[in-house]
Amino acid sequence: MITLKIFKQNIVTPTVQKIETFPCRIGRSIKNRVVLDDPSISIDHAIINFDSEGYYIQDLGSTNGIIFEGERKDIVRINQNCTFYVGSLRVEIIFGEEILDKTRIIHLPASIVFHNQKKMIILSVLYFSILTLLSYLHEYLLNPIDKKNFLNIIWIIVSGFIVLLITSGAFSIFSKIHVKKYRLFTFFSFFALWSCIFILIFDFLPYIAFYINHKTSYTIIETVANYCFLLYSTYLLATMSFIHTSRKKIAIVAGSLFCIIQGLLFITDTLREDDNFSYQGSLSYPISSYKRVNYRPHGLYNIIDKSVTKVDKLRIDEIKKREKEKKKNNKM
Amino acid sequence: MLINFKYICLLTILISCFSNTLWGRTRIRTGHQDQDLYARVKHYVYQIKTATDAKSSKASYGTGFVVDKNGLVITNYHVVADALQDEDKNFKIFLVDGDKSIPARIVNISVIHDLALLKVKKKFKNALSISKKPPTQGETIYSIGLPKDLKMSIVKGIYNGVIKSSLYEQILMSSPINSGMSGGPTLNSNVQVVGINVSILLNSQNISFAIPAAHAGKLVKEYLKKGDPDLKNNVDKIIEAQLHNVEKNLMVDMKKNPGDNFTIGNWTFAPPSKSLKCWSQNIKHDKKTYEVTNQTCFLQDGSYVSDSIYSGSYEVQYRIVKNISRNSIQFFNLLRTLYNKGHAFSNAYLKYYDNELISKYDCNEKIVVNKHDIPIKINYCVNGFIKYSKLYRLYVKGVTILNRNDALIFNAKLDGFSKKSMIDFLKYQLSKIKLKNKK
Repeated sequence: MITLKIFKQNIVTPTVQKIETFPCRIGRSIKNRVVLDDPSISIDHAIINFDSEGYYIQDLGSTNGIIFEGERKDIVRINQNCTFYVGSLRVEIIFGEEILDKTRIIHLPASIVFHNQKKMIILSVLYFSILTLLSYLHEYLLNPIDKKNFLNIIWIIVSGFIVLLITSGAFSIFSKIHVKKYRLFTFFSFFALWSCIFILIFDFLPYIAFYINHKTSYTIIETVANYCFLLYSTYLLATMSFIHTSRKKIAIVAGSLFCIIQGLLFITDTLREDDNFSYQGSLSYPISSYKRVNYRPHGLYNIIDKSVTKVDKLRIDEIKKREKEKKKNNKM
Repeated sequence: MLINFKYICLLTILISCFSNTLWGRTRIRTGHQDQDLYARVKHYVYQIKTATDAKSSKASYGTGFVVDKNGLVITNYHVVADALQDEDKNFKIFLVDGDKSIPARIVNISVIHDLALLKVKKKFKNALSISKKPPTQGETIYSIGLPKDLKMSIVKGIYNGVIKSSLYEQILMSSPINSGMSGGPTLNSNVQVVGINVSILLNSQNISFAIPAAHAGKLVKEYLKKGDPDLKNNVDKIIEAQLHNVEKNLMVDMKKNPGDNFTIGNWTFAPPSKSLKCWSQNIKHDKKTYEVTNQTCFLQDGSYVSDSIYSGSYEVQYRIVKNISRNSIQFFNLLRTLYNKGHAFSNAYLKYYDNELISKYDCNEKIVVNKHDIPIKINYCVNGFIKYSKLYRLYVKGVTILNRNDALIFNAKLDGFSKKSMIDFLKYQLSKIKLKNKK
């Protein structure tokens, strides 16, 4: 099945024509399957058909003929994305069901549409080798590798594969962009890239934390490291779903969505009470850099004092709340 | 990974709402003398239960004994705590006399010693007398009570003297007492009360504790002096005052017996008091990539307030983590998990607080440099008791690291301390952390 995108001069929006049965005749006459009402087109202009080598378009002795790569030709072999002129009309050929809009491709993470199987195989091998290497790195950074860890790594890879398969499948169904054949692999490359970045940042974070003494900047880095993956996926989803309308709109919506999610994550991260009791970066190293003048224990006692007054308030609030409830119950 | 010794030596209060038949029924062989004892004691020992009304089934139960003919009965505070701590005051206290349940009310309490004095509207024929002399070590004693809600039983045991390491006196007995017997008397062969059954040591055989009878005597005296005050509305205030007293005693103890300095690896520190029981433990990882040395110190005493909270107790833990063959990122990752997942000091523990008794908590963090120029990163959380003002629970943890391969993690848990005491405690602890060979 082929889709023709026919552009008239000085008009941006194309006419889209699906062709499902062959041969298919093109011309100005209404007898033709594809009728092009343009003075540059002959009554019976051309025919699209296929043979053992694939699809082709053949001139039927028209006045203006078929122009491919600047030359007039009798037969033009049709490839994916090839462009030629029928009379003065520009025709783009797309294989497959979906209409492949150029603006859409630009927003894809890995904007590669593969033309042959070899590349796909190379990519998948690359992907899994990267995943394996990353898993080993991840495990090594946390613990020296032994038998137990080894099994763990295998499990990580297998489960990672399953998760990726599901997510990429869901992604491609959602986006409706790709030719079925290529869907998984483009998304695999996308996930490989981001898992790379994710694991690297996440594992080296504690090391970086040695040198970050500012609490908020640490929290920002941690949040981004933890959620960049998620953020990027939401951004992509947003771009994909708004692609039909206009690029400006997409940019605004996706950008604001990104900001909102980032903000929400940051707020929830800082508001989570129990997190205050866990590690928050800034371990005192190197020791000599901390001086007593600036970090007197007195500061600690002051904040404890504040906390105690806060707890007192919480306690009184709780007591008042209970009294109210009691009164309510008594009335009932 | 790391075994917390606290659980091995945890004192458990003998309170149980469920009939637990796991241990089977113990038969006591009674000799001639014991038969005599049984007959004599029968009318002085009763079951005490808390329930919503006289006929309904019990919420908790224990034993009580008559100390005064006019209806004064001694039992454990923890037996009747349910009735006191219950917000809606649905639970009432009853003395079970055969088929009858006689309502009782609390007239005096001592949270420190886990004692409660009850008044019952009934005249008894006679009362048990309190022994003025403590028994000699090795003397045979008889613990009496209604174990597991069954029938009055006598348990023969041996008096081993008073434990001196603990802040509050406790009698150590060799006798197999069971839950339900708390509040029951421990008698000498002259049928005089020498103690009140209170608790057993968990995961051990026949190690039981009793409160010296003199404390019960004091309670009775106090009551007789004051007359008959209405305790109903003042109970919380009385408990609060007693808990503050406990906490003051702890601070005095810390000042009087400061702990000795400990040195592990490059680090020197000191537990707050000699009254603490300390355990140390050295754990090497299988592959010997790192080494953790634990020093856990905890107080054996603590005042029971309710099933979920104790007051006037604290626990300190020091962990020295030494790097053997890890690179600095691996070591740092390890340190991070150790610091964040420290057993009783972890976040999970904080979440399980009793909403009825404990307020929400407030947390913060700070980097502090102590007087030995050691920077320590500190996280802490504070929450307070709702019923008792100015008493808080504090969880602190701190970490410091030397040359990227030697770290000290410091954990502390304080229950029922005032603000000043918490700060004093931290001041002392922080000032004691230093390097062994300071360059």
